[in-house]
Parts: sequence; C-alpha cells; structure tokens
Amino acid sequence: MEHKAYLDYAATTPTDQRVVDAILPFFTERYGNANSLYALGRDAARALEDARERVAASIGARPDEVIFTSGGTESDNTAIIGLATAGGRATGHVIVSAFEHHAVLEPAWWLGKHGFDVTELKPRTDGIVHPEDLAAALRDDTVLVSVMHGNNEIGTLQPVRELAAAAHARGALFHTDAAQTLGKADFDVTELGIDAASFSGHKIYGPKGTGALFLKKGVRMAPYLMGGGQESKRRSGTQNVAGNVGFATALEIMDAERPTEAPRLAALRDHLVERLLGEIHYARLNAVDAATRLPHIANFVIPGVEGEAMLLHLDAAGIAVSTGSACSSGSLKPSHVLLSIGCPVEFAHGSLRVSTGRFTTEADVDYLVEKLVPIVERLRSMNPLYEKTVAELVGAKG
Amino acid sequence: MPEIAIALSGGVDSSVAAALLVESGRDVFGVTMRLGLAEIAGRACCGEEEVALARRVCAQLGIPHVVIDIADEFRAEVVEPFCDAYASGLTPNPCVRCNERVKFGAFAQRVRALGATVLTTGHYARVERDADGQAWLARAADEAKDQSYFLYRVAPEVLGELEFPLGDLTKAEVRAMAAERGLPTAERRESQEVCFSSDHVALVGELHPGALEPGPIEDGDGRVLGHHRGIARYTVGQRKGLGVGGPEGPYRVSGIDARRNAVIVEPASGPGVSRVTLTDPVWRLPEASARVSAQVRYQARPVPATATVAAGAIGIAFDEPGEPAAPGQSVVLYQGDRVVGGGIVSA
Repeated sequence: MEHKAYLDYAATTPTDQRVVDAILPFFTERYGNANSLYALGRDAARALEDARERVAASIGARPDEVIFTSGGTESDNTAIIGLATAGGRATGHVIVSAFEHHAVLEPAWWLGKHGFDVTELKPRTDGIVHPEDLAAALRDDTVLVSVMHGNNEIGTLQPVRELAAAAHARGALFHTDAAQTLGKADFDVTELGIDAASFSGHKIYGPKGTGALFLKKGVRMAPYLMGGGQESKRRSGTQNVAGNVGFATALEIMDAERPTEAPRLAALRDHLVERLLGEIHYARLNAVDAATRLPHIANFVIPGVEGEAMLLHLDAAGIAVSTGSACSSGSLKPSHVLLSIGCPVEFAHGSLRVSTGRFTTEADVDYLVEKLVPIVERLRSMNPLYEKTVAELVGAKG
Repeated sequence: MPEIAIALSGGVDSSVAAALLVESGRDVFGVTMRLGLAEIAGRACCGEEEVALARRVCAQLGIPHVVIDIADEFRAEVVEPFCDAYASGLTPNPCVRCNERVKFGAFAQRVRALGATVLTTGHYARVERDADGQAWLARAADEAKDQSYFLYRVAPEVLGELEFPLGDLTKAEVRAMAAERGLPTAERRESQEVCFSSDHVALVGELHPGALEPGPIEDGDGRVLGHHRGIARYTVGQRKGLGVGGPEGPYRVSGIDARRNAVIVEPASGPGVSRVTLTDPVWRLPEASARVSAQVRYQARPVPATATVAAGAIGIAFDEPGEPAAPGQSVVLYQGDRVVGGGIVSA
C-alpha cells in the first residue's frame, strides 16, 4: 500500500509520545493508591492533584470543580442523571438538543421513562441550536438543559454562553458536552457561565478511558458511582492516576499548540472542502451556513452513494474515515445528527465525516480526494437509483 | 476493491463460508442483518448476541464488517404477515418469506449499495448455470442439510449474484473446518433456520389475541369432539395434543376455520390427499405441465407428482396420496437436484 491516511481524529487520536512518557512511571514506580496514607500514596495523590490543577487552569475552573472520570460517556451520564435527580428530585423538565451524542441522549431518555419530561430541542439547518429556540422551549419546571459545545459529526460550535444564560434566566442548570472541543476551541467555564461540562482524554491525544466532569462549586449532583467516596464523594473508585496525568499532559500540549495548530487545521479543512466539492458532482458540505465551527471536522453528503460503501473502498486504499459517529458506525442507519438539521434521509445515507489532527498533512487530504473520486464514480455507476436521486436533488434545489 | 459480501449470521456455517472466501484470496467484507428480534419476541437480545459473534468472526478473519439494520422491513414483511397468517388459520413459513423479501430482497439491495457485486451466504444449496447462462437453484451436496427448500422464492436475477461456498460440503466437514480454524462460532449449537417462531404462540397472541381464544374441535359433520386452546396452536396434519379420541380415533387436523374459531379433525386413518393447489407460484419451466418431485415440508421426502401451472396457480397431482399439506406451507418442486418451481398451499 503506497500511502495510509488516518482521517478520523474525531473518533479517537493516537496517544502523543510526550503523554506516554509522562504516564509510564505511574504503572511500575509511582503506582500508589492516591488515597493511602504512606509515602507512595502521598506521591500518587500529589500527582493526581497536580493533574487536577492543570486541568482546572486550562478550563478556568477551581481544582475542586474538576472530577476525574473514565471519559466523556461517564461524565455525560453522571451529569444528566446526577443533576436532574439531585436532592432526590423525581420529576421535572429536561431539555437536550436533538443532535447530542448518545451518551447524553440515552440518559435523557432514561429520565423520560422515570418521571421526567424530556424535550429534544432541534438545531436549525445551520447546525446551530439558537438561544431564542431554547428560550421558547424553557418552562418554569425546567431543571436542566444540555447542549453540546461542538458537534462531533458536523463540527458546528454552539453559542454556549448565550444558551447557558437563557437557561439560567429561567432557573435551570446548564451542562455542555465538550468532549469534541476541549483543547481545540477556547473553553473557559467562567466565561461561558456553565454549571457542568464533560471532557474526554482520548480525543486530545491522551489515553482512552480518561476524562473529567467540571461541576461548578455549590451545584448539587447525585453521584453515579458510589463506594469509597473518592473525588469528594462525587465519583467513587480508585483514581486512575496514570490516566489523569496523561489527560492533563495532553490538555496542556493542546493549549500550547493551539495558536498554530487551529489555523493549520482550518486551512487543511478548507483545502479539503474546496477540492472535494470541486471534484465530486453534487457533493455538499453539511451545515455549510454555520457561523462557527471546529477546525478539524468536515462532514459531507455525497448523494447516490451509501456512506459505508465509501468507507469499505477507502479502507481498501488505506484510508480511515467515518460516516458519522464511530459509536453508531456499521449500522447503516442514517445519522440522527444529519436528520436533526433537516438533511433528507436518502442523502443522510451518503454521509462522510473527515476529521483531521496533529499528524495530518496536506498529502493525506489530497490522497483522500484522489482515491474518493473514482470510488464515488464507480459506486454511482452501480446504483440503479442514482439518476433518480440526482433528479430529485436538482429538483429540490429548484 | 471489496466486492464480495458474506452474510454472517453469527452461526458456524456462515463463519466457515467467510473463512473459505478469505482463504481463497478474494476481497471479502462481512455483512449482518440486525432484525430487532429483542423487541419482536420479547426475548433478551437474541439478535444482538449474534451480531456480536459475527463481528468477532470478521475481526479474527481481518475483514471489515457492516451491520445493516433491517428491523422495519423484517417486521413488515415477515413478522406481521406471519402473525396474520396464523390468525387466519394458516401455517406460514417465515423463513421462505424472509429469504424472498428480506435476506435476498431488501438486505441484498442494501448490500449491493455497498459496492458488492456478489453476495455469499452460509446456506447449504448450490447455484448452477445452464447453457444459456441462466442461474438455477439446486440442492446441496449434503442432502440432510440441504436448504434449497427455503430459497425457492429467491428471484432468478438475484440468484445470479449469489454464491453458496458450502454447497459442496457436508455439515460434518464444515464443523471440522470451524474447529481447525478456531472460529468463535465453532461450538455453537445448531440453530434452526427459524429465528423467532420458537415462541410463536405468544407472538401471534400479541398481535391477534383472538387466535389464542379457546373454541370447538369438530369432526367433518360439525359434531363437537372437544375444545382447542386457540387456533394459533394448531396446524393441518397435526395429531398430537388434540385431546380428542373416539371409536374412529386417533384424529388429525384436517382444517382450521378461523371465522368460526373451530379446528376441524378427521380420523388419521382416513384416505390421504392426492391433489393440492399452490398459490403465489414460482414456475421456471417453459412447458405448462411437468413431472416433478414435490417436497411438501422442509426435510419431507420428495414424492413424484405432476405439476400444472395455470392462471396464477399450480395444481399438483401426487402419484400416491399422502398426508395433508398445511395451508400456508410451501411445496417446492424439483427436477433432479434443480428447483423448478413451487408455491404456497392454498386454504
């Protein structure tokens, strides 16, 4: 194989060697339990608290507002269920955006089956949840609102500050899932005025199974994991010191490199969008009208082609991309994200998400386009419905 | 370019078929149907376990795996008609219908959209080509495992895109191959072709509670001999579990009258059936009448008969009278090993 290109950084990232170097001593030398009294434990506790301070500094929080977790899913689950049911509350209204990750949607649906009233708030076709739409959905009994900071499939950045203000104006708490944005866009909890936020380590060149939940001081939350009372009784379980050190290290590298990395990735993305739209008929960029977007994600619809078919053929050429979220990949179900922004079902089947990162070069992006053009041509020639799809597409455009 | 799709069910047969394709050096990818059986049969995710097994097999073989959610089509094309049929006194064959409408219908179409030019499965059957290049379905080498009965309704144009890598192998050989390769499915218990009807009575009852209502068991003259426990539990030809006897007994079910919720019985020693009419005909011969070997159930011994097609139906005249065939079941017609037609026993 002449070339390989990993273009699925939104699914996961390779762990940065600098991160690996930072965490290795915690496996065999500094292996103490951070809750133990003796020197080995105190050493682990110091490393853990140091990691907490570094994460807190990055997001503009106090160290005691950072709860280490096993990653984005645990943080989301804990926040949604823990905030809604805090203090034994059993009823109330919860609002989540319709294009949240399933780590938010599933616990929200669970609440819906256990006494709560749940509203799924639709983003508009620009891929943005508009604050005035949230204001209209809020009720006197709304206890919690959750809207992600940046969408993991289409890369649109949400006006979280305005959304949080709207929620607070009606007395509701505000949580945001920032798994896809941490380290890639400015994120300061004080400036955003949020009550809780979820983070993931493996999206930022840290180890899998790491992450954190920001919980604003004074906000009550029922714990999700119970036991030894670690993390100030908000998340029991012996802390993953190695992982948390890795997460903090990864975040610091992201912050240090962002001033040059973000514009580099944005330029790569624009180059990709221009080439791909220029060389593949009827291809379009999803949420093209978004005012704000992440630099590393571009999501296309290529009508007349099944997304998974492109994946299979690109895989044979050594290229890794996805149709949407890796969690739902391989199910051939159209993306709930694309459907939520008004993408017709038949086009949503032909989605392709390209996400770039630290080790992506322009040659990778060019290689993708070069391989994709003949694959799309071939798959379209095999599709008996292609002409009809195109006719509908042209018709829909007027 | 990955152009050969292997449909993996999570069973040993399709796993071995996949391994053989990979070993032959072809560019293969795996596909699995997600049928949503957990919601249908109320069982603990029977479908998901198999999807996970199929994924493990593909991981071991180093091929990509795509799961195709076909639950809506399966419910509309197989589960609901299956329940409707039982409630109207028929004995449907869901596998025949699934193969026609779902597996080699909607699913095959989705697989084609993935860029596959050939769909392969772990069925025990063969596809033969005649001098004109026409594809014909034929029996597998392993007669005991032959599944051509379930596949007779697959459209000829779809047949042309199919391959059955196990068609020339025996089940024993396949099991040995699975064990040799350490496939995770090697020790799986034999799954019957039927994937949801082990608890069909409850399922039918969910959609048609009336099909579980007790009613009379009558003889041909309308005399009540006993009571049945809901027509969904009975099938024409059945002898066991009737709970009626008499001077003429034992009895067998000769008909089900859904409108009156009655099960009709006749003495089991009575004369056999020598003619049957098939609806929804499949007929692939140029002539309108032919000598055939007719198989009235999966694994029934095929019997000689004359079949005549006319006006959307096939008339079968058996050389020797036999057990009554249940309305809703399929009769498949063979010439030698080759499937030449078939249809559904009319009520």
